[in-house]
Amino acid sequence: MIDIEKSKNLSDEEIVRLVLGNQEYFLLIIDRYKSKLFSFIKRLTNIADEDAEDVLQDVFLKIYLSLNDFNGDLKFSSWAYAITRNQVISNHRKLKARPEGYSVGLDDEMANKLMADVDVQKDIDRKLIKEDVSLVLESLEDKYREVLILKFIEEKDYQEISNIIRKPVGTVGSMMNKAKKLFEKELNKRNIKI
Amino acid sequence: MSLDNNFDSGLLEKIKEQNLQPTPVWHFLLKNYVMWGLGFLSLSFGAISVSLILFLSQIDDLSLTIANSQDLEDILLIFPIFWIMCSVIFIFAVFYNIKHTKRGYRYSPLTLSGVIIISSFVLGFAINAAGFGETIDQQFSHHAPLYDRLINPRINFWSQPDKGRLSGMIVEKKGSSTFRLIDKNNHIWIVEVGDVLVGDAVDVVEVNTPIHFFGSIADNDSFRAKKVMPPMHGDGFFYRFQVKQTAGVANQ
Repeated sequence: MIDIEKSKNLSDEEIVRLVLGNQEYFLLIIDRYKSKLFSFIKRLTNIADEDAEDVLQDVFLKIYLSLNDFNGDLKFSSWAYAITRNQVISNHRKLKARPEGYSVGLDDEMANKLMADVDVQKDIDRKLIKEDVSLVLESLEDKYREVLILKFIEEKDYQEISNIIRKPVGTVGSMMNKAKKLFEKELNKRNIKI
Repeated sequence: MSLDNNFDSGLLEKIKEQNLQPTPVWHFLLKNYVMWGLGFLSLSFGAISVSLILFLSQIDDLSLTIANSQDLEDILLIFPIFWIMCSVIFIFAVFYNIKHTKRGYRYSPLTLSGVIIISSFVLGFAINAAGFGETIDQQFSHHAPLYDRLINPRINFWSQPDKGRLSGMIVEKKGSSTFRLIDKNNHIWIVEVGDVLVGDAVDVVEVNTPIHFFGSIADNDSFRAKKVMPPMHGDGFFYRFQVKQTAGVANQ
């Protein structure tokens, strides 16, 4: 059996090499990423926990089967997030249904970060921010909501976002600017006083 | 948001039960190399298309065309539209293939398009300068199906006797001023050059020579030529109507 505690200091790249020799080590990858990827799936799509778990299982199977495609020229986390995003998109296509709404799952810190970045007054009721930001995010077009989630909730930098959504860094920058403008516009449109 | 406590072990169990193994490295490498390979192949075809545009655009009959036809449809016939479309398609194919390589998404669409277009033109110029544009067109003109309709419709521009343009293969020479000519529709014409012939290009008119005349229809099967044109791109097409020396008849 693999001792997860003892393997905490191993890098993702080292674990991948170990998995290729012994599949038991895959438990380390699952343990390290299951919560992050589960939350990411829930933020991208409006499905029940059980369905999100099924998607997550497919994601890990895909990660396992594609391990030889990971060559370390990008972060393992970016690679895993990209696979997750593709699986979510593919899952939507299979269902042929666009979700009606999203459970963005924000905490106070995330909401504040996003509001601070779009130059909005910060001295406000935290609970109110969280709910309002969630509402506004949910109203945005998929591609703009996605970049905001990756930047302010998943805390990825532009290069990582580029690797996850498979767009050039410059395009990510433009999308981010547009997303922030739309976010601010939507705040004003809804007359949210914060 | 919560996950089943047995998620980790259940997943590993599934991998073991189904005896799943990571896909071999060569599978991913091959996929990437195939996309790059198709990209380079498309770039080559795109460059060849550009070389043919350049070759066919060394227009020997543009001024004459414009001077002798106000019909836009006629003027369009002399442009190498087929090769322009091929270039555009291959440029898109290169873009698509490179974008679908493993790291292709990192290239800016604008930069990538610019690099592909410039590369296609530079290679196209080089191919044409080396004479390959002409060689390729000659091969197509001799052998390609639909050459006159699709690849080089300029043949059609010169096959409109009712508008004063006649082209084809000389199948018989009767004295110095009368010829028998077979056109692209296998129609035999008696061509009389008369006294008004401009220049002395008539001297080059021999049996089994492709030829283009300006003039007018005299009656159903005869054409009065006013001008003999020099050899043109795509003349190889008319060798399909060459006279067999033994049989003495045109064949296609």
